[in-house]
Parts: sequence; structure tokens; C-alpha cells
Amino acid sequence: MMKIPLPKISAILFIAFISIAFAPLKVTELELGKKMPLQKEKLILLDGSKTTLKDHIQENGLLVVFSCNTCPYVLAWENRYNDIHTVAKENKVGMIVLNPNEAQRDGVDSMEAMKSHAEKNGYTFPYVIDKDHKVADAMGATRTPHIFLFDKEGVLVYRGAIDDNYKDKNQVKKFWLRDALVAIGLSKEIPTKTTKSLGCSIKRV
Amino acid sequence: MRRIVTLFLLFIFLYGCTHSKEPLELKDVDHQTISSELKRLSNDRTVLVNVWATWCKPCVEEFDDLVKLDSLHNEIDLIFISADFEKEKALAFLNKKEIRGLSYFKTGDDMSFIDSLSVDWSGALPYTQIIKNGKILDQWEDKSTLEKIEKRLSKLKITNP
Repeated sequence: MMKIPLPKISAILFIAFISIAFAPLKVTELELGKKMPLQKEKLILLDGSKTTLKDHIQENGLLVVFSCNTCPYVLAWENRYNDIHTVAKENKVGMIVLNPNEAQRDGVDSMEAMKSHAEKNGYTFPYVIDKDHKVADAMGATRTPHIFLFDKEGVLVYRGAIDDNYKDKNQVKKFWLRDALVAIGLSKEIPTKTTKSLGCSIKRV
Repeated sequence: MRRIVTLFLLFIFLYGCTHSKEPLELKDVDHQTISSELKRLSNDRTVLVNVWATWCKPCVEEFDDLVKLDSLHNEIDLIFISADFEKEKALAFLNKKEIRGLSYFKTGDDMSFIDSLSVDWSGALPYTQIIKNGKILDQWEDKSTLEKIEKRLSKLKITNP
């Protein structure tokens, strides 16, 4: 058996202690430039059938939105979801909205609740169950809504918020996601690549 | 007569017990003012800062544990920052929980506010940080329990005068 010298063990233990004691936030968001993870992971459509992220990738990429049924930030922002879907289509980018709130699957984020929520809001895009928040974990999604935009190479090019005004879509000054989608369509550099917004934590189990 | 005096003194004593703390003040803060406020409050004091909202279920669930932590640990001060949409809702909740003294209400731009508190915070609620002299010693985004925070505090070996 290989013997590890004592100072080395101490160093390893010290580093382990430091990383535990000063652990950063629990979930780390996927870095820009990283490949889309879990492209073939099974996601559940609201009719019970299965789909994957890969099924929704279009010529210029895929927009992944983590969302839910009740978060006030989702409710405030979702009057722009269909507009974003239109811009995504115009720029040949697919769009899929994932509900990762497994801890509320027996309640407000059940499949039935998702169905009626999608109907009520006239969703024009697939709204699917991210079972056991596997995709949310792989992308490091922390909240709803949380946006991850992948380009035609399947690489993360934009992450964060939809725009700078959840309260009122007519008062938006910075259309971060729309601008990113348009930039992808024109094969141009995305002007703002990461943004932040407040949101409801993903209800993990 | 002596009985009346005794009763009067007892009344004064009990009134003092229930009204010894200052009243609740819910002060507006934005990304420009929050840093200096927290630096002032954490001057040689360890402060647990919690960003919460009445609409945030885990925030409401952890609230009582945070208050309990504050009452059990003199070495730490507790400061709440509400991210509610309506100030009245935050005020009603804090009053219901009998919170006294200074508390904050977030106003203005969200992204700048998030970054003012921590560049590592993604924006998910609840968010909690332990600070001293304006510096972050520890921070987390998930729901806290009394036990979990006590573990973090003992790891940080926090002592206050």
C-alpha cells in the first residue's frame, strides 16, 4: 500500500477543512463557454410523454428557462414568455421551460397544476417536468425564473435574467435575453453575457 | 396603600419588560446605501444578514429559527432585509413576529442590490450572510435551521465582546 507522508495528509486535511469551512454557495451556476449538460436526460411533457433537451435544439441553439407555477417573480415576468418564444423562433433558437420544484410536486407544482398554469397563460412552448431537478442541478440553476441560453455549438452564451424590470414590461430598459437571442441570430457577440435577478429558490428534495 | 404602591411598581416593571426595546423601524435601502449601512452595523460586531420576503416560503419557514438564534447568541446580531414587493406586507409580518429595532426594505434595481451584498449571490431567496466589519465570513442561499447556523458559527469561532 502506498504510504502518504504525514505532512501531505495534513495538507490535504487542511485544504479539505478550508473548503468545507469556507464553502461557497451550495449551487454553482454553469460557467459561460461550457457545453449543455444532460442533453439526453428524459423530461416529462404535460401529457406524460417523454422528451429531452436535444429534441428542442434548433439551428442556432436552445433557450432553457427554469420556472414554476407560483413564484411571484415568475408570475410577474411570464407575461413576456411568449414574446421571448417569438424572438427565439425568429432567430432559430428552440425554447423549453423546465419546472424543477420537486419538493412541491405533490402540491403547487404538480403536473395537473402545471397543465392548468400553462393553459391559463397560453404558453406557446413546452413546459416540462425536470424530475428530481437533475437538469437544474447540472446547470446550477438556483431560482425561478433562471435563464440559460446555449448557441448552435451547444455552448452556454448567456445566463441570468430576462430583462431589468419584472414589474412592468413596458418599463424595461435593458432587454438582456432578447438582445442575446438577436445576437445569436446574427452570429454577433452577445452584449451582456451574465445578469442576476431576485427569484424564488428552486425547491429541491 | 402599600399594596397600591407595590402594584404600581409591578406595573412599571412589567411595562418596562415588554417595552424595553425600541420600536420597529423598516428603513428603505438600495444598492447605494446598503453597503455602508451594513458596514456601520458590523463595526466590530458579527452580524447575520437575512434577505427574505413574505412570498418566499422557505424564508417564512426559517424566520422563527433566526429570531431564536438571535435571542440565544449574544455574540451575533440579526438584521433582516425584506425583498417584498409591498412594504406594508413586510411591515405587517414583522409586527406579527414582534420584531423590534432596525430592519431594512429593499428598493431600486435588483441586480445592483444583489451584487452590493455579494458578488457570489445568484439572487435566490432566502439568502443569508455572516459579516464582520463589512466583510463576508460565510454565506448561503438555502433555508437555514437553528442547528445549521450554530454549526457554521462554531466553525467560524465567532466571539463578540
